[in-house]
Amino acid sequence: MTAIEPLLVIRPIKPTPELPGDLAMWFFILAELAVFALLLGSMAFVRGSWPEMFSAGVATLHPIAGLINTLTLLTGSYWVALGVAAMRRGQATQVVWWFRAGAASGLLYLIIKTVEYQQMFSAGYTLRTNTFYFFYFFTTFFHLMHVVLGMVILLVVATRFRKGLYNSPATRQMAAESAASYWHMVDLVWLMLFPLLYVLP
Amino acid sequence: MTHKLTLSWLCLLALTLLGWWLGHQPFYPLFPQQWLLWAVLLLSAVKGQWIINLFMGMKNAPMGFRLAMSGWLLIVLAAMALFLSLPLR
Repeated sequence: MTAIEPLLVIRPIKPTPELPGDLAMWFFILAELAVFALLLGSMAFVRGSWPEMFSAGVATLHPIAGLINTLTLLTGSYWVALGVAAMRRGQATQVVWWFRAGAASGLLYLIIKTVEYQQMFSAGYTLRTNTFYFFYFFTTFFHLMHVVLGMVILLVVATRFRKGLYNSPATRQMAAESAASYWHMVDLVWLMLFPLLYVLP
Repeated sequence: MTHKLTLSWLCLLALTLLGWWLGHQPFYPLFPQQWLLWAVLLLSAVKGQWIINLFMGMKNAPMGFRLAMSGWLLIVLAAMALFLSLPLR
């Protein structure tokens, strides 16, 4: 008599690990984050080394502008995440609109930052004023360029979705998740700049 | 999923407002300023990991990439904590 083999073994389903978006985009994101880690660390070092100079510099920034920009980028990230959720449901039109909304949040960020820079320059502050202003202008402008690139990526992907240029679910997923990951990276970096420049006195 | 994203977004906004409010209170003669630093960095850590896990969708990503992202967050915040709390001069 042979032992009875179970016909069906039920095991808990564990999702297979899956990278959101393209592998190349993730290497690009990690390279960008390495540069930003260096800048954020240097800024913290300057703040720790010359606390009076840094605090005096922070006091000249517009705290409400920093707050509104943070809320704007968080909202943009939320809209882009909604776009990715729409892509998973197969609703291409919604992807287009959520990604455009994400890019619009970036535009609002650019307008606020430009006004802030203009006020700073009018008050006579430049990269040469002292080490605080060098780091402030250099790091925030470097971040701003990433916001612009993020907007371009979102708009290009939204346009390709609108024109139906992604012809398979896999390519749609790859494109939407890659664009969204880059945009969230830009948001993540700003969340680390925010306490150094606009929260800690 | 949409409800989860909306709830997370509202929590992230609330944590941002809380951090900003804490940094703009005039009560630091009453409390050590070091407490503010730790509170603000803790809020930044929670917000950063939240973005990584939910918005970026790294919760289901391969372990190496998850470690890279969370490790980046940890290194940046640790550098801030170290440089802002040690007397460097």
